[in-house]
Amino acid sequence: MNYVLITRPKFDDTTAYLFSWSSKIIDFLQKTHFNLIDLKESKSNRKSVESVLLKKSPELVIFNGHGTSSTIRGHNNEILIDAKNSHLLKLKIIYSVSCNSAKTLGVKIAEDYTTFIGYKNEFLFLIDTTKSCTPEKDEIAKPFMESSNQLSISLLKGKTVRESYEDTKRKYTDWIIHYAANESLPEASSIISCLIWDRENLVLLGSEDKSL
Amino acid sequence: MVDEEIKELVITRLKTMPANIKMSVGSYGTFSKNELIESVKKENEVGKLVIEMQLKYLKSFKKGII
Repeated sequence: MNYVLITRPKFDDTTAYLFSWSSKIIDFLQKTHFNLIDLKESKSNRKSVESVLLKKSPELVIFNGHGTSSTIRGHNNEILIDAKNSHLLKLKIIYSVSCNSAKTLGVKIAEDYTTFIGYKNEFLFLIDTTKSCTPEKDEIAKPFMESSNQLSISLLKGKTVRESYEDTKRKYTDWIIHYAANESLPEASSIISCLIWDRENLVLLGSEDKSL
Repeated sequence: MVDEEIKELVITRLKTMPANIKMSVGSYGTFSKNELIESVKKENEVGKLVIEMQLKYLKSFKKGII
């Protein structure tokens, strides 16, 4: 059985958006042969993550939530992964949509047969406050959602990590060009500046030729 | 200390942000335009990050990496 683990806490604006964005990945995943393990909201805790990593050994692990340079966090900011249990991610492809986690933790995890993709600084995105109750309808956040989700979608299509990473960078660039061509929109400049920031801070560490 | 002219430049750019938009800055939370401007004025962690982000944006034009 080929498993994909997704963690998606939901306890503030940022995690509520990441939670919603992940639903799009789940919709796509359910059309593939992969089996989903969805640790959502309070299930996004250290004990459950460790149990799934040990018992199911998912090929792909997608973390959503907050992070620091040395931790990936879950529900109510509980530490899911740190130096003490990061060995459980050995041989897997890890995509961490959480701030800073690629800076130190990602470097530690990544090696010849393990891949870590994540952000080496804060992950920034913009929210339309009139749509924050329905993140999936937020057009201001859409460029960030589509760019962030591209990595998982490309991997699930069977592309290599390197190809998926390049697809994602390209998706960021496509949206930057879109708003550069529509710079009269009042939100254009703000969106472009955040997209450039995220694109520059997304890094690929470890094995680049792995695929699912 | 951040150069006052740079802070002023960043604040001017932030003022163009529509009032209905907030920025998610990871675990720091979400910030309105006015809150971001205050952070830049105070040069706190969020303010420094926003300054760095805006400078990267402006430099990207010069480097032609957009």
